[in-house]
Amino acid sequence: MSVLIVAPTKREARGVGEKCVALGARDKSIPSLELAIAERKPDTIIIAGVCGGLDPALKKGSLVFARQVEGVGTESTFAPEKMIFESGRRALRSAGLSFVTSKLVTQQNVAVTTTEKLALWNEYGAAGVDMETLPLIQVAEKANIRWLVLRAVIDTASTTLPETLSNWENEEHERGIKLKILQNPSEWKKYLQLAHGLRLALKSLRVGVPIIQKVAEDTVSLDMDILAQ
Amino acid sequence: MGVPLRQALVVAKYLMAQKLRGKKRFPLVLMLEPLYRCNLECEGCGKIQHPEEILNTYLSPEECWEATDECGAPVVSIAGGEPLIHPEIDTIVEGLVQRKKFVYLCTNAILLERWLPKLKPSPYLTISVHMDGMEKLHDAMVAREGVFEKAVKAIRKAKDLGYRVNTNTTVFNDSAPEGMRELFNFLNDDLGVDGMMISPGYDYPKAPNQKVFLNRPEMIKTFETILDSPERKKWRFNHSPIFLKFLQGKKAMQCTAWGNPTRSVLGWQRPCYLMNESYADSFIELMEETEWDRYGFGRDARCTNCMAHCGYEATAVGSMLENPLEGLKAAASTIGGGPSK
Ligand code: SF4
Ligand code: SF4
Repeated sequence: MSVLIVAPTKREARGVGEKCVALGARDKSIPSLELAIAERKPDTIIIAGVCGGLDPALKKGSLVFARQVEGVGTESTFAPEKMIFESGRRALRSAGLSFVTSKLVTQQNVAVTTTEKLALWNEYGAAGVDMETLPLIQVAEKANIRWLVLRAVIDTASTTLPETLSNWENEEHERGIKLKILQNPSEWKKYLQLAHGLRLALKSLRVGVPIIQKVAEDTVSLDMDILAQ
Repeated sequence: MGVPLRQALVVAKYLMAQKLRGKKRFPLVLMLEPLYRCNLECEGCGKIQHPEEILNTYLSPEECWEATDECGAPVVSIAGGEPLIHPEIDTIVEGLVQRKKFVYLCTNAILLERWLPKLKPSPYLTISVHMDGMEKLHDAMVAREGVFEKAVKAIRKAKDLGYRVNTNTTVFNDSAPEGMRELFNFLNDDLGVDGMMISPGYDYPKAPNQKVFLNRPEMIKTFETILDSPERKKWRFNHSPIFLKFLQGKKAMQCTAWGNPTRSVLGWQRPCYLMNESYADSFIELMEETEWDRYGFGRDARCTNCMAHCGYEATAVGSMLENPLEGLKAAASTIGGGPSK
């Protein structure tokens, strides 16, 4: 079974490994994924990347293997195919990784404050929040391709992120933010903590993604007619 | 203060010892269910729907003590069913007190007056009486008239005889905040109970009345309203301040199901007091072979509407180890208590 591994940013894709495709900014990510699907014709898409932690038990670097993905303020909820998801869960467990199978929510902006994270936690009970997963799943669903999501926590539920990040949209437009950081030494500590979280998150993804990938390669869905392929 | 200083100190010492030993998971309260039989059939109870042969099975005192020794938790909450139906409940309690366990004997109090002469008051024993509301609401929730009156009489008598008495209130969708405040004032001021516990009802699929349960956002709203009261300061809750903040949606917490392991007539129950997915043969098997990370809010759909203290009070106490300042506050206030059925 062929597997396509994608991540929203180049930074995340580099961290995950050379086989991972960076999809680019939010508006770009949908056509990028559609193109990758057209070229690679995968049986499974693995969406990897980092997320903000909402489950207070999770530490930086903890993995979230999504059992459900929901859009904040939308009625859209998706769940991965049960058989491959369960195989993935068992494989991660056998490898002794620290992970949870939980919900993930996608929203338009970075969840910066602990208050915002608490509100999301109380409302959705999601382990993590990101800005990209839901639209990517919608593309996969439309193309009738099964998918899995593995995210790693970059900042915990009890961390307030630097205020400047509330305007973060994508990697390509980070210059302005970097400038603001330089002008604002009071936020340097928070950025250093975030950089530490990123290192731990990418380290976990580097270990976790190949495990899920192997499962995806080895698992044939019941509705896949392999003889016809 | 809902908990005696002696108990707070013993629990704090126990926690420090676990931390020093580098233990990742350890029990705080053993939930002991020596029988499932009950003399009531409360609207929101999911504990008593078992076949007759199971309802007729009781743990012996020796089995109860063995489970307690195996588990090692400093606090034992005896629940059920109705523990006072057990013909040897006094012997069970005595053995646990001898082991210097802080025992919470949970009861609906129907048989309490009869048992009082046989139980000995002790700083290690707390009688925890189920009180879901003032008379009309309580009798409706336990589906029998006269139970409130009987419980009040038994509480007064137990207090007169020198027992430590707590109450345990489960909040359902009929628990109007004003009614709850009236109840807490009554229990606190008129009856002078030593501590009060509150917990939202867990939506047991087997409970006789499925309409009584609140969902999570409703729970948070209800607790915000109940606890947002000037009278709150005088109420002697048997909970850590962190847990009360959690109930009001002001503190994010994940469940710590292993903090309150449950031993029932069927074995060591997985994963928690409220869900019985399977049973382990020993405490060690329960702790080591359960996939604990699979349970909790967001992780398992059955946990969505659970904010019960048997899952979350241990988390509150855990944050005590991570944050000594919060910890001191928590230790000074409480741990222990009865289950919310
Ligand atoms: S809640 Fe307690 S008193 Fe009521 S039926 Fe269940 S076990 Fe009996
Ligand atoms: S959240 Fe509640 S139901 Fe779920 S495991 Fe914890 S105590 Fe049990």
